[in-house]
Amino acid sequence: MNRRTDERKWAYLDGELSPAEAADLDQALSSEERARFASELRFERTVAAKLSDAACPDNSWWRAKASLQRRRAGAGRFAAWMGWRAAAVFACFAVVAAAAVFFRPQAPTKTEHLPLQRDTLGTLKTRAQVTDGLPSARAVVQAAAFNVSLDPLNSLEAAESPYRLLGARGDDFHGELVVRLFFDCSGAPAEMVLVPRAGQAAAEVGRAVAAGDLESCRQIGNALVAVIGSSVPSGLVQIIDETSFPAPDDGDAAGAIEIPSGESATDAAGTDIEAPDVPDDSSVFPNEDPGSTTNDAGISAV
Amino acid sequence: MDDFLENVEKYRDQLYRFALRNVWDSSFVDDVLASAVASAYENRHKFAPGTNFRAWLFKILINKCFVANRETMRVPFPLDQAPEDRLVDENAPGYRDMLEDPEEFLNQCGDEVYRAFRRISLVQRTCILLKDVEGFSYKEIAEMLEIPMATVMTHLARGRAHLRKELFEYARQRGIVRSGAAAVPRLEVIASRKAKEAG
Repeated sequence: MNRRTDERKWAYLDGELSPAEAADLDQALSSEERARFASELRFERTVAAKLSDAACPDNSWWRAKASLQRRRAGAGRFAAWMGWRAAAVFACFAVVAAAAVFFRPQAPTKTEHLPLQRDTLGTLKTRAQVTDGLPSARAVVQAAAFNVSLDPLNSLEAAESPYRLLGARGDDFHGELVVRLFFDCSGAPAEMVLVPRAGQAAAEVGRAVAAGDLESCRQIGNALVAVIGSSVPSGLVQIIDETSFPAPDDGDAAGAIEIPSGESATDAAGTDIEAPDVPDDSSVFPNEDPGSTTNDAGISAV
Repeated sequence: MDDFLENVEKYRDQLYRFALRNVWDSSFVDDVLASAVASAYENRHKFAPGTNFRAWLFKILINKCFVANRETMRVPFPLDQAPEDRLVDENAPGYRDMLEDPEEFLNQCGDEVYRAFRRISLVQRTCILLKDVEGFSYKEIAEMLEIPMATVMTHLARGRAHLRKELFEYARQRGIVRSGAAAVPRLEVIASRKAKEAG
């Protein structure tokens, strides 16, 4: 059976032929063909039943809802807290801070490849852009807009800590900001790489994990965190945690987040605040039609 | 937000299983689902009331799955480039065994069904899931994927053929079906031979 015949057969079995076409094909079928078609349809339906044998676990759904609530809470609370004037000041500060980190002492390094090889202690020290302790490293992480907390328990600087922070650097990898933190783990070098969860850098990390070049990898906040080193304490990846937004001072109840009435959050001046832009990757298939918002099948454009 | 989530929750099982069967790395399924729900919420103003909400949700989910699969940089086994002669010969020994009792056959294949399904190309998986599992029409699938209907038909036919090829080869290697005339015959043939010899 050639491909065109095969496609027509499946259109017939799927009930997608017009009544006239279906009747024509039906008349032309021998009894043996009819029997074979029936068994093929039975096989496909059995495969479909097996593929559909999965229900959404409660945990998965709660995570989806919680993630959405966190996003809305972040936009609503922060915007309500800041107000537009403070937001403008913060934006200026963020630009200056980012410029101070990434353009000092040299311009952001554009790298074609994301080097994920193991280094020596000596090399790690020379690669760092900032070497003056935890606050500077935290500033590098913050400037790259990763919503993670570096060492929230301040364990790195404790006397019994097995690792010392040597420095940090930020790189521009194909338009994505990547942060590296360098450690001395009881004399052995280790490196922690933070990359955006979605993008080319994350893909490179995924490849390195599959190839066994990375010791561990974890998704935290909006970052993918990977650790490189021949002897890395398992606790190293735990020194990074999701950050939390500042608690409001207006006596808002703990627990569920309430969005002000109406569909959008507003700031103190009553101006609508847009939720943070979700990257619009909804049109990854080719032949995007920017025309009408609905189509013949009644599906709205996304 | 509660109303919106309530409407989306009606489809949570369908959305979850689609992501589960479509995404290469199953550890991403929860993230893909959460991302799709968030994106649907953020873009809810773009949905035209009275149109197909379920198809609109699936369109968002399809794109999230596509991004997730692209990120894991999995290169699908190039079955979709398979020439005609690599597809199952319907006259091959054992092929009819496969079709005779599909439930028993697939039970014996076990989890290989899911593994084989993941080995066919992303767009073929998507089309099969949308048609066979979720019951969308060819036209709806074409609109969601923004491809011609004829292309949907091609992906469905090829995807189904490639999946059978994978399962058939697996079954032959494991002895679930006959692998050829010289191979060990099926039990009922042995029984009937013994009956002839005895009687």
